[in-house]
Amino acid sequence: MTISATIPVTDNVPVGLVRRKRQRLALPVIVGLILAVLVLLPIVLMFLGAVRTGTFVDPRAHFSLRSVIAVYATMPYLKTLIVTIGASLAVSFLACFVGIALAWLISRTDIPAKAWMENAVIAPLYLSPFVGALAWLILGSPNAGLINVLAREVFGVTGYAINVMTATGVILVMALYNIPYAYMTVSAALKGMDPSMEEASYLNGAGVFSTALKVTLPVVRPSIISAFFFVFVLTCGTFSIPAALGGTQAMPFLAIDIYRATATYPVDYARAAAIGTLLFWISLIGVAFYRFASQVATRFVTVTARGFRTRFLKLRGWRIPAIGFILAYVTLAIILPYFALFYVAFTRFTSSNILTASYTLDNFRSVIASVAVRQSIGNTLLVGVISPTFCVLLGIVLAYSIRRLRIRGAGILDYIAMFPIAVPGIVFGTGIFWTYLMTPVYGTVWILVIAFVATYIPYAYRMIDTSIIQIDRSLEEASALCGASHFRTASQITFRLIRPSVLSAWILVFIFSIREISAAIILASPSNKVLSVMSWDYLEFGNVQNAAIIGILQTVILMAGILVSRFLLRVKLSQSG
Amino acid sequence: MAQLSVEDLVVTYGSVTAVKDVSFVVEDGEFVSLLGPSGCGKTTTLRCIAGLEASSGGTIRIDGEIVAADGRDVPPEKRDINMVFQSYAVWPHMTVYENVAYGLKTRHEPAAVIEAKVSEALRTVGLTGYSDRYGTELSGGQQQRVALARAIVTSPRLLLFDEPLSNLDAGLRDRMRFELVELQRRLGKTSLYVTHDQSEAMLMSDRIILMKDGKMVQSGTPRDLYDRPASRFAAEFIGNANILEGTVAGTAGGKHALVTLTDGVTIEGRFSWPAQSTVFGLVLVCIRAESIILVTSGSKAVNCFEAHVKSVNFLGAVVNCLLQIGGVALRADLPARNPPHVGQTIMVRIDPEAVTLISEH
Amino acid sequence: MKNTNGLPRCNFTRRNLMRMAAVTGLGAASLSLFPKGALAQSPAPQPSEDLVAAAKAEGTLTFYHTTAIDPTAVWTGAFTKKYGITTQNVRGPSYPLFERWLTEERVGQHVADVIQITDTVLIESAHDEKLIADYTPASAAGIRPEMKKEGVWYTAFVNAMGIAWNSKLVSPEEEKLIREGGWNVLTDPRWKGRIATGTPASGGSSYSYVYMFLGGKRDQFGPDFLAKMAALKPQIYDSKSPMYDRLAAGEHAIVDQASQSDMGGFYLKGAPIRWVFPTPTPANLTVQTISAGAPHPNAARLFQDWAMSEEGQAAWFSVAGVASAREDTVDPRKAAKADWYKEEWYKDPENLYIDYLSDPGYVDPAKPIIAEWNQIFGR
Repeated sequence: MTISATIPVTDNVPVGLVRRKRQRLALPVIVGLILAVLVLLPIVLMFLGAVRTGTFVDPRAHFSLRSVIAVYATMPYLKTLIVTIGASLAVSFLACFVGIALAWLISRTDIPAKAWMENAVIAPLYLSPFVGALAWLILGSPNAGLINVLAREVFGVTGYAINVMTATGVILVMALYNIPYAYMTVSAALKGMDPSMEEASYLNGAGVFSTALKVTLPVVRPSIISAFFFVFVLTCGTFSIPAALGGTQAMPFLAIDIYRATATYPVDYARAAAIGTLLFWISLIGVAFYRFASQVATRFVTVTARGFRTRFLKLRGWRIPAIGFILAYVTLAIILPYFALFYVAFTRFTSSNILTASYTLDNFRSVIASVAVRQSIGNTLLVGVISPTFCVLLGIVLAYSIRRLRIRGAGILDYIAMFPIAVPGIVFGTGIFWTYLMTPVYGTVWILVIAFVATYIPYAYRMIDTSIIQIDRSLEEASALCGASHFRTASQITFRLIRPSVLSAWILVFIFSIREISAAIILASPSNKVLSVMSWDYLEFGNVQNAAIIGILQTVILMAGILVSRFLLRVKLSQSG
Repeated sequence: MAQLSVEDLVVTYGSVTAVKDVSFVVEDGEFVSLLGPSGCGKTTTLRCIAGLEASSGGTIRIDGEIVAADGRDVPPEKRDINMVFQSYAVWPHMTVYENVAYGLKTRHEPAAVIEAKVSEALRTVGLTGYSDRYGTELSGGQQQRVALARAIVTSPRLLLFDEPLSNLDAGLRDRMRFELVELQRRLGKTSLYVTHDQSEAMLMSDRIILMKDGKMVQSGTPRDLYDRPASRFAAEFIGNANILEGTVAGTAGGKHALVTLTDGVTIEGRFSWPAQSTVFGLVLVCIRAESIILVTSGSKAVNCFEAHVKSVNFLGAVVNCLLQIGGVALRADLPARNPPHVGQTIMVRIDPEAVTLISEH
Repeated sequence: MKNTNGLPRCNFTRRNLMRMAAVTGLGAASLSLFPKGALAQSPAPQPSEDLVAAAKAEGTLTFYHTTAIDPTAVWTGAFTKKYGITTQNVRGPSYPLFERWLTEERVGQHVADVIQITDTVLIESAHDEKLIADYTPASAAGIRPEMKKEGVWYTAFVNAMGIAWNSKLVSPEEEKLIREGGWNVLTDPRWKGRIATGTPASGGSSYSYVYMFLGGKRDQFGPDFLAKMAALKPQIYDSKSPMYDRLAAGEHAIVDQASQSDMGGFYLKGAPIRWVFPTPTPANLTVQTISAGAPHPNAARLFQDWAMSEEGQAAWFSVAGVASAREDTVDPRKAAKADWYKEEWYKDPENLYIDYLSDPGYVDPAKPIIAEWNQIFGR
């Protein structure tokens, strides 16, 4: 054997030698602190708030388990809890069912105008959910709903054709506005799936539907589960849609109870917080499933440098029904609601009769002339640009530290970063209110930025994390071996490769930030009013016209923002295949 | 150019030891392969040398300079070496030119120098004219060439190859082997090559280091490993060998010994490693299929046996036959011209020099 | 219409006041209804020059209000125009807004200067906590005595609440019934599925409204009355304003808690809404107070001065149709018999129920009638 003679190991180790373990201490501490203040503190304050009889600074308040006991152990709340879970599951089921069908049709069949179809399917994201609910109230309230008036006057229907102010109505409207999330998650998985798996099924004699059911869906099952629980958790904490559609009279819902505890007499933050903790546990279970499923989903997705040559399934006779299905969705989710909003925006007062309504431009004039609206447009743009930017930056730092630097406590950080999903926005907003009440950021737009970064860090982090996991390590190692420093490798290779998902994450958080209402209401101040709060205020005052106009304005800002960000962050990856 | 020396390298992950006390030297300009089945620790060893993996113990020196000692490591970017990856690792967001120029730009070389070096490297690997293509627009072989160009363009002290050809299809792989060797000889780079393909290692290497379970089992020239396997593992892993168990019946002069196989067949063989020579006890008898030759019937020379042909498989230049000699079954590669027929009884001879005895179980 | 200067104040004021005072229930007799002759001639008391100068130096103030966004902006705009002092208006639902202000003051985050709210009980509780600045605006002398607590809070507007209906969804007979039937019309089974109401938990005005039925006039109405109403399964709103919008749209035929200011707004937009004030008519005070920790104390005082003055009150009339808390100010539209005042169906409230402000049941911080109401309406 030609094993060389032993060379004595010298004690004076060269300067370049670095003990690897030592360099990874500062970072976990910093990242951990950021997460602790941003995410944990508000949640801890929520739990503390649940056992106080008043606010933290109320001199008459003391510790008490009254609210917790009332919420956790009395019938009305437990009944509401069951209804909340049941309704949220129903919403998830419906949204996933339609979302999967749409995703399959668009990514697997020869349906025409795919790009248009896809844009149409995700377009409901550009509408604030509660403005969407408002639109549906105008369309489908039992007596004055435009659709019902039409049905009565043209088709002679007695009573009403649809009624959104019922449990079914609330569930359907919530499902409608959650379909895009289900669609995006499942469609990403379908696009990443090797079509040869399906081809193998066809060659084994399975038909189109049997292949879809037995091969395609099981392969993307983790994504479906992930989408399901994502929608579930989101729905559990939504108060604006059920509140706009008749509140508890339509259906008891925990999030409405929270809102009511913070907005009506007696203002009881302890009760709101206690209900918040109850929702937190439920959502945490959902988050655990979501987290697990999205990690499995990542493993299932086949990422290679070569593009698949996807063969689209020929729909033939099913083409017309399939297009009809998509068009029906587009009509319900976009055309009708925007029609209702534009209709209302041009009326002097909400009228159920399109023919006799009195039309005016005054609403537009008054909204545009309003100093408050102009200020809030400025604030919305500021918050809308800064929040997703910080959120994505923090997401990158987190994901990079956890996946690439493998800092200590990475697993814990990963969990904490997912927590905010489990906290209803309105409760999280209250937690943030307490966290920053005594700091200079209170009452400025920065508290909104902090709130939005904290609220949406799970989404940004998860999306960026997923794409970092999918990067072949050797792409970065090759850079190091070419002599590039950590920083150069990160900036030239890693971040360039995750840019598409950074863009997606930015856009998602941008959409959320522009539309966010729950925390913004709690944190609104003279100098930080945003459009969503303005629109809610107008609605509160029965000025549906101005609320609709601001809803439309938000849509305009969202679409413009997405166009600009696509342009600025345009992705220069070559076409594959 | 530089010499690579690895001493007592240990890599542990928690309680699992992936590499145990591996020591070897790759001389300046030498092409050495780390060969072994998957999980043998060869890739881990390579990645430690690259600095991509933390060593737990031992010392690695490049050009006499310590890059890893006692669990401290110089980061890969400071080692002035380069590597070709199994997955090519061609950056999809850069053109071929940008991929190759990356390392030079990192070193802040003047633009003109970069330009010249990149074109030279692309010419060397035969990719002139592909500068503006993106990595993902190239075939596997072309991507591998980009990776190669990127690795050589920085004139590293040491070139590492991590199974670079295993993702290519067979024909291309054969061609690339020759090109790689030719290139390495031309550039004279000290190279360490990891593969699980013994024929690749045999063909390309000046020297092969055979690894198993995190340890080195044998090291030597390809010829050495082929002719003188030191263990059953070495014999089985390199070449197509029949391994039989036998008992030493007596010496036949020098390193040669007579060995009785099961069913009383006696064969003369040779201990390839004098240290293993023994006059009694159990040994392994290693007979390569290509060492069995057809002789005219009635030959009385040493190690001539009558064999019953059980099956014949056509492989092109040779036929692979299953022969029955007494109670012993042997695979033999015989010339495809006038092959034996199934059921025929033939006479074969095995040169005692080609019967390797290994006293290891 | 917007310029209130030079209006024949005296006569109309007097007539209006007579009517208002006559209806103020038990307290009516004790009210001084006739403005002193001197008041009309003597110039209105003006804020001191020092105050104006100090306020102008501060240049801005923050106003927490519960009234609608746009009319309020127009109103404060008149103040800005006069003094060059800008206002930052923050709109919020009464209770959460006040709770927030309390919290801010308690931790020393002084944001608000002037706070407007529809619930005097909360202000007095904050006054006990020393969070309210003692200030008596000179102009507040003209505010009716029962509509202020000297040095603490002053009423900016008085809002009467009645019954409103959508004239397209109600037959002439039904309309006659509503106009003549008094409050009992709310319990008529014909409204089943056509009526809506608001929760008393939403704010001071709804609370004051419900208080009349369950508190002050319990003998006359009481839980039985509300139980009959609850049996009609009204749509219940957490906030009254959206209810008015749905009334105009035709979702509901009839609603209660119809406030003069909101109904007037819908009328002016041409909505088919009519309203009536059955007797007794609950009225609610929208009051304003100055924060002890006001970051712009002088601007706050000047604003309070202005808001309580004839000028400030008149400015509010130009944006909303509510009654003034001043004896000497009246909505010019009413004087001119313009807008809804000209309608045959319109009648001013005759018997304002307003002397509940110091009832023990009303000021009880536990607000027990809310729980009772919730139980009756199955909330």
